[in-house]
Amino acid sequence: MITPEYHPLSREQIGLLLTPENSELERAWSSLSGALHGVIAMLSITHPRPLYHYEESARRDMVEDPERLRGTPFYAPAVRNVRAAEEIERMFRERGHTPEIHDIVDGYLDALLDEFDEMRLYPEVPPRRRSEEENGVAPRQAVAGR
Amino acid sequence: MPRYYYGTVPVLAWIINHYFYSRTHYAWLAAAFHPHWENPGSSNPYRLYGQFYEPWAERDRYAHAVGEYRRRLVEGVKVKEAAGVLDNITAARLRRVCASGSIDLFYPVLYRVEIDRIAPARRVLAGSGLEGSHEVLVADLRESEFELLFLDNVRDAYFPQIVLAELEGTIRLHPITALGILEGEGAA
Repeated sequence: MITPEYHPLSREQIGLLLTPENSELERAWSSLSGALHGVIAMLSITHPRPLYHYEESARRDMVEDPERLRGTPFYAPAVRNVRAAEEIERMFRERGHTPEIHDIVDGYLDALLDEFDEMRLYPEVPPRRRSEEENGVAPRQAVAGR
Repeated sequence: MPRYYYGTVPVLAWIINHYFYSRTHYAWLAAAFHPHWENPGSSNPYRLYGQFYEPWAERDRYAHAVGEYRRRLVEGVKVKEAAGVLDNITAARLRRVCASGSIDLFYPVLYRVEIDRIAPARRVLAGSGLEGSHEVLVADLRESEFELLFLDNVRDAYFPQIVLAELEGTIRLHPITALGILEGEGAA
């Protein structure tokens, strides 16, 4: 089985996306990653509940934002990330909260947030850390009712 | 005794809701400050407080929890711009503050809500709330409906200017003045 993952843009792709002439593409990519983050964060038991998550708007962005990237190098990764999110949701509907799905959810969110940091700090290269390395993240055994 | 619910947010969220979103707040609220056995960490205000407080105290620019809220605050700006609440210039400035503003702006604060004062129709069950976690989402919380709790923040110059003075009613800042102060806090 192929694990659904978030595929972040490479450094080269980020550099290209952040050029002034690509500002509309950058808006589309950022909008899509915001929508994907909200949808997947709602499944997480470790990442905080997403502020300003509007389900209907996020679903619309997951359809429309990739189209705004069509014909560019960013279209294929955008579609891949949407499909991975949809696959995670399908797995969650079928199996519910399982350790395997929690790992997939957290891996997806961590990769997305790493990319967000890379974009906001570019050209600085931020360190990569997992959320579990930080304080305050709930140990899974402390989650009741699962 | 009233039934209190609690939600932790970075103070930047309070500031933006207060100055730019008509004093209407988007809040995830848990049935206790530290619902250790009842809620997952994702909806435990005590744990979230720690996730913000420690990077703020250590000025850790790379904390994932802070990055996560930066991501969500940017999303909020997008939604409000699309809804016509923000003009495109203010939205662009706010996006920069949310994405790249100083870690000092992520000082944690706590909303305390007497939950029975919120009409049931406004208390949305979502996420883990649908599966037994004691939490609700109130996406349109008004300032008359919650108390803002926080430890004294004597480190950050913006705090008394934008937060304390506003709460005490000593000065009423124009939102664009507040935005200028946020921008003056510098980059992450």
